[in-house]
Amino acid sequence: MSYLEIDHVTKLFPATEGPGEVCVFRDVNFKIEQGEFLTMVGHSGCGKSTLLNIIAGLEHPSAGGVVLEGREIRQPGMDRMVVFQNFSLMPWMTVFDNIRLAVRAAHPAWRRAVVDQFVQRYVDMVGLRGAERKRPAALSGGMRQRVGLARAFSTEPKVLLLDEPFAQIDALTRGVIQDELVRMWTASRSTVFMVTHDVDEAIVLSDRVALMTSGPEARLAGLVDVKLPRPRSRAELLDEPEYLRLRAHILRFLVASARPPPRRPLPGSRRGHRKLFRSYEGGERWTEEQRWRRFAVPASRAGSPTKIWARRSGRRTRPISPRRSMGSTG
Amino acid sequence: MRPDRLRVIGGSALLGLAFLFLWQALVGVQPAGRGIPGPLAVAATAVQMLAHPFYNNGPNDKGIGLQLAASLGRLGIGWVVASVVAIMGGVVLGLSPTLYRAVNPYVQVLKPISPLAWMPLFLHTINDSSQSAILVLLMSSLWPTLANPAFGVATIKRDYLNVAAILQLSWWRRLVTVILPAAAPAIVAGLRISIGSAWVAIVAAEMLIGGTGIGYFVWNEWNNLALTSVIFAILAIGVIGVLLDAALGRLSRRLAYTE
Repeated sequence: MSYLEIDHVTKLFPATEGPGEVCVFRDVNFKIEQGEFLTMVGHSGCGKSTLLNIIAGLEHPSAGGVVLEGREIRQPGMDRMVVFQNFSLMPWMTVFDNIRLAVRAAHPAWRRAVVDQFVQRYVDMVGLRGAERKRPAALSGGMRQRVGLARAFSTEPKVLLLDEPFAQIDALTRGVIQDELVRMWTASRSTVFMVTHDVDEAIVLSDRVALMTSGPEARLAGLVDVKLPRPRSRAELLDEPEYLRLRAHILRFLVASARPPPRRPLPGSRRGHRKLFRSYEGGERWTEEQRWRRFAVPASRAGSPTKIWARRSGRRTRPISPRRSMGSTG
Repeated sequence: MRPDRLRVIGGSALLGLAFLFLWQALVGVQPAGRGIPGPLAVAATAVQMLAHPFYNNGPNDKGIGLQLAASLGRLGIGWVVASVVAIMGGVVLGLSPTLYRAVNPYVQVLKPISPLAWMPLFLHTINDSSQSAILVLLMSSLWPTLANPAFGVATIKRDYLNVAAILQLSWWRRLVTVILPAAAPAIVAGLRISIGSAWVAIVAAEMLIGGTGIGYFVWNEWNNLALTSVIFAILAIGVIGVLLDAALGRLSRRLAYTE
């Protein structure tokens, strides 16, 4: 039995307009070994962040499930920590207090002095000594993500979930922080699941790379072993034939699997068009869920499973009877 | 000091002086018996009153300091109680959109009612004019405060709540370390509005109940035809209002955060 099993996971979102569901990805199935660093690569909108949220317990799968050490994941827990793309640090807390919040949550029985000492160790580990009393707004993107990494590692989680952690960091700083991540991961030997669309980042950091086809109805296309010796140095990798082969392989896959999103006018055509147009113009920010709901196919035509548990992210789960979800299509 | 700031202060002083001169000039040409005292007369009264702000010669003759203290005491009790109730209620409403929508129509109806309109009911039920005034203040600051915490809590970024969920914070720690700090700027903005409206309401309430307080003082001095005292009391009300607002302004700057 494997350490972390993603067991035939399907995610549907209810459609924005009208009845029916949109399938983000279907039947995603793979296993992660203990201590492994696995990265998922795919075009934006293939649902890779949604899958990460499902593993974190922040969202629920529509079908299938995630099993960690033989136990199904149903809610967030201290055994899995997330590093967010937008850092998600509490802006009213100092760097120190942000990390302290996590350490206190992990070790509620510890005395204050012990907690503070532990926090300081992680502050030092990411090279933020001297900036402990600053608030996140006073820090650069790179420094903020260092805090995010320190916060996640300080709870000593079994599984670390990285949601495009370097996407908002400038290219030069990115490499430095990636090296820090590898160092901390090597020391902690935690299991890592990362999501990114940066192919180089995926190869440099990972033991294996999972490839997703484009959504809607994205699928897991395959898993690629990265058999490059560690520690890896970016400079040496550039001349490594195996690195170049992997890079070409993954890029070729991504180019081939790229397809434009379907642009069907939505019900109430003119209004639908305008909305579609606005969203492409970037005039409106859509959440991933909203983006997905726009590609809705009525449930009767989509051939969706007759018995589904429609769940909305961020809300308490509520079963929707198949009759209700199908019935209003006519 | 920056030059534009100097210009602003200079302009302000100039406007104030011009107003005082105009006022003093108009005093001379007023019809006899209906005139308003000029700034010099008011200043003379002010000096006299500020020299002994806390004297007490019986119920109808107290120093302005005592009157203001009585008003601020009422304001303190009424506003603090109202704020605590409204913040707790607002947080609960902000956490539950359904409850918020259910309660909202009632709040909308209660909000435009002048707090003084409740006075007869309070007088009838509790039979005590001073406590009735405090309840009027409570009504005046309850509704403005209620909406803001609800809005602040309802608009907390999902990310912060996700972090709280991953760290499995207890509801109490989630409230204290995430929800209240995140909503704090909105809450203080509500408190700032409500302390202003409470200070407005207190003058009228005290005119009705009599006894002590700055509102009663204004009415009493009007009955004595001591218009210089009335004008000085009006100024004092304004200055206290500014100080109250500035205190909450400082609090809001301390609690503000940039994302």
